[in-house]
Amino acid sequence: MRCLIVEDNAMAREGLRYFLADHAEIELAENGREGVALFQQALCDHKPFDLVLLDIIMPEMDGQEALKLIRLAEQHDLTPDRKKAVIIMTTALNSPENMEEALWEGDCTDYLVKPIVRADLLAMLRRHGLIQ
Amino acid sequence: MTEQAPKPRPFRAAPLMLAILIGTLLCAGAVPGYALATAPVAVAAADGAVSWDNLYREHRLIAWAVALVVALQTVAIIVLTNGARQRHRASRMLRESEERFRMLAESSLTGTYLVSGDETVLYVNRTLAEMLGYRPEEIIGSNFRSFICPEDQQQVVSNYDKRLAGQAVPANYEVRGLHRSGRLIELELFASISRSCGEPAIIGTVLDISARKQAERAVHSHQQQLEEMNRILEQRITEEVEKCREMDRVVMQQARFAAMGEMIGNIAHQWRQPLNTLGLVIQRMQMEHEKGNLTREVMEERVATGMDLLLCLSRTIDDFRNFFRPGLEPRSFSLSKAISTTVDFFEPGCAAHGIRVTVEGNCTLRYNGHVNEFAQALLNILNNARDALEERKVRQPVITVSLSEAEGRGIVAIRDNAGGIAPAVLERIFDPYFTTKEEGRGTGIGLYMARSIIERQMQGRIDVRNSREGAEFTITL
Repeated sequence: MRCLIVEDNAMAREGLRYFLADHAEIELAENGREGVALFQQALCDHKPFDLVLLDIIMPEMDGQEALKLIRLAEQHDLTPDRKKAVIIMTTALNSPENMEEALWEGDCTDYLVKPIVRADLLAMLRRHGLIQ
Repeated sequence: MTEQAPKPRPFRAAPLMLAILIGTLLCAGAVPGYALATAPVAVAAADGAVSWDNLYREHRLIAWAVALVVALQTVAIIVLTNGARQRHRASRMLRESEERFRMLAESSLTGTYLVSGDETVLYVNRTLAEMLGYRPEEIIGSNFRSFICPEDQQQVVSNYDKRLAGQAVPANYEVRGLHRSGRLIELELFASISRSCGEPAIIGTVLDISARKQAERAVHSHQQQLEEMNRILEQRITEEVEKCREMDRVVMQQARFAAMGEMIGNIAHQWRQPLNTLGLVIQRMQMEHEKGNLTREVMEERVATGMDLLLCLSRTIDDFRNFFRPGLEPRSFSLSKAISTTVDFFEPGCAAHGIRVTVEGNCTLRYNGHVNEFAQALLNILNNARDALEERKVRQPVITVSLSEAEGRGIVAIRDNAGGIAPAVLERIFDPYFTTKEEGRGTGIGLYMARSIIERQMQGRIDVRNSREGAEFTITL
């Protein structure tokens, strides 16, 4: 499994990487713009990411904008639905309207509210068939 | 009244008249007698026996005496005639005067009275008698107390006695008279001391003021009603003003709580990141322990990271509590520091929505006051800018807070790039309960509160205008 972690907080980024190190090949991005670039590059390299952990609140480009661009990149690449990346939004905004916007407008797969519990993350990955 | 009329002089002409009579008789007897007695002498003189000169010399005294008596008689007759004419004129004038007085007293619209020193009514005119329900003759000769209300008799008698004794007493006063029917009449009594038949007496006039008093009572009653209505009105106004103030206080308090809620949201966001990181660090430690990677050094590093995060959280809470604690005493604060602290609290909530908040410029001025109040005002303006940017989904939203000084006053400008405020809204933007936000999102109090704090509490000024990119609020302190 290839995983892209997009998170502006270095310690959080490193913590997530450590959580998933045993289950995936991981690449890190500090903001949305960098994350989109890495995702597009991976598509070009025919090594698409299976999982994207995308923080919502980030400088330069936030998670919601990045989510739209990632889905757009998949459309341009003609990625079939079953091959589309599982995108999990991670957010400190624990409010229904934020989640609604992210899920229905941005077409994310799921979301996790911070602080992230490893067991919940792994359970979510299992639910989406990414790990056993 | 009788002693006021001119009194005729007593007739004292009798002795003079007697003298005239005697003189007349003497002259009447003496002249013919004398003529008869002196006739022979006169004949002799005529005959030339006696000269006229001798005759004159022998009888001149008698001749002069007769001439004097005749002259005196003439003068006396003239004087007596003149005196009688004068007496007649005086008598006529007296009669006329009495008639005039009587007519005046009887036809007067005011009551007139004369009371003797022993409280006996000597005279009342018809008006006064009718006022009391009597004929004048029924009153004259009675004690005046019979016509005074018993409750007022003491006052009237006291004034009467003092007046007779020559003490100072009001010339007029109000008293209740007693009508023949038993009803009370309100009277105004005028009195002065006089004399009647050489004895001291009280003379005066009486006005029936019942109608006037009734009118006065009606006016007084209306006045009282008006005063009562005024009092009730004032009370209602005071109550309504108090209610409005209370409502203002409540709404202001609610607005404060709402602002606090937003701040707590900001704090929650500020907390969420370090809490997440702390959670990741702790879980990572567990994983490292399970993998056997948790060496002493790794453990120390993780604990240090965790403690840093905990202290950061603690500081955030302290800063927030201290900065926004209500009821702080006024104290000197730096405008620059107050703004940077407020923006520090505000910024995380903005960052969550991609809004950039920048502070530029500097101000060295310090102010004495409630820094938390000032922060509240600034936050309300900042929240307004943030809401406008979110609502209009502005790309690259920015809020700029700039500080400057001019003529010893600090100027804080808060600008956004949300496109500005509609001119109609601009005029009312500081009005209480005025909001353009959708129902449930705006109280219409935030900017009203900001103006109250800046202008009333800090004696500053707050203005708003549209700049090229959006709204610009200016606080001048």
